[in-house]
Amino acid sequence: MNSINRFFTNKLSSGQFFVFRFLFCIAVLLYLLFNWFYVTGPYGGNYNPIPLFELFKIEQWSLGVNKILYILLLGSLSFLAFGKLPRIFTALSTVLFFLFMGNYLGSMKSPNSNYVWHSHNMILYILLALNFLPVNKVKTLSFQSKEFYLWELILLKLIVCTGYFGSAYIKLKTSGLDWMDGYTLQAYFIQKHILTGNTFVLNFVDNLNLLIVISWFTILLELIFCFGLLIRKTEFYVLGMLFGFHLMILLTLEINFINSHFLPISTLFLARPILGGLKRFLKQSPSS
Amino acid sequence: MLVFISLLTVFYTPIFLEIESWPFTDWRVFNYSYHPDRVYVFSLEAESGDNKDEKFLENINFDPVTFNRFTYKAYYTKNYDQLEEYISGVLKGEEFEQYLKKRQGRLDVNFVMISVENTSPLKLKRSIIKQYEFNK
Repeated sequence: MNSINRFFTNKLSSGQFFVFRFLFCIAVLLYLLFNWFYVTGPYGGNYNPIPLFELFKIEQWSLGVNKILYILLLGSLSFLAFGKLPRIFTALSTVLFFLFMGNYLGSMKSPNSNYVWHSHNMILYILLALNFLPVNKVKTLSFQSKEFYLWELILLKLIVCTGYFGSAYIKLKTSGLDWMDGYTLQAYFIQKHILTGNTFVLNFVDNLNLLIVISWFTILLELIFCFGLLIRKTEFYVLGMLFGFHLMILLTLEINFINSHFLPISTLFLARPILGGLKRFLKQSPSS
Repeated sequence: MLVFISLLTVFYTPIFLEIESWPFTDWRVFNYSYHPDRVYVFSLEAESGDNKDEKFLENINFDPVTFNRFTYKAYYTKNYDQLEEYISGVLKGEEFEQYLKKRQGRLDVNFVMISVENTSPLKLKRSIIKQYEFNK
């Protein structure tokens, strides 16, 4: 009982949260700024509303309105990054990101399936969770104040783990251990080679043992090792493994989760060492 | 504690309920077991005399992944009318007309199924399902 009490009452530096929120918003801002086609893409032809838009009867708006949404989203994330009215701008960023990205994903959706591409889930998950965290009222960077509960950090990390855990769970539920037989990855790699001419996958396709090892590592990383993110001593090892994992996905399957997923979630782990570095820098600077 | 448990429930329950509605879950990519024997990719390839253009779709600015996704489903559900309509649509586009103008003489566009003949070393097999003739 004591350890549960401690878990819910232990507090961390508010500065760590402020740095995380700042870096997270900047990562999302940069991601949006470098992907202008998210604004214009949905107006190129094919558009099939995502199921949630259909449910709420949200119809596609004009390109002009989409541009305004985009600017509002960038503005809202900028204000949130600097801690201005955090409650209001977190809620606004969540709603705007949902509408803006939901509209874009409609242009990627097939009319014959309900499947929606999931590479931007985690940004929305984090934004959604921030709305309910008591610490999200912090407005300035403070080195002394301790308002960041340990459970809030663990909760954010557990939310990050959903992406990996969910992916492995669905693979095992759908295919069982067959997914790790090496042939599955071999087939996916060959298919990618035929479809896009990717030659990097040819380094793997004729080595079944290596493919079995990669398949098992993928499942273990997604299902179990990812929870090493919860432990301070192992978080950076796991983060490194996840970077390697995403890099391999990019090189073999040509799916880029690094910019839309990995970089924003990394800010949660980088905030503590960056805050530490900032403290040391300020202590050493002559003016202090 | 209430916020902690509620949010965990919100984010983990959709995984177990396999909810497929963005932003929740949708992790079903590359989830099914597969085998090189079952790899069948559909594509359009062009042939003019001795010249073969295996990157025909890319050269008319059409995404091969989208083409395969649609034709694969139509072919295996035996929806041949829809398949024909789709391919005709691709071959009536402006990009294709420009492609055709640049080529003299007869041009065959083949609807092909690419499968795996051998994995070590990798050898692919191309079977022509239907041929479309132009500039006869």
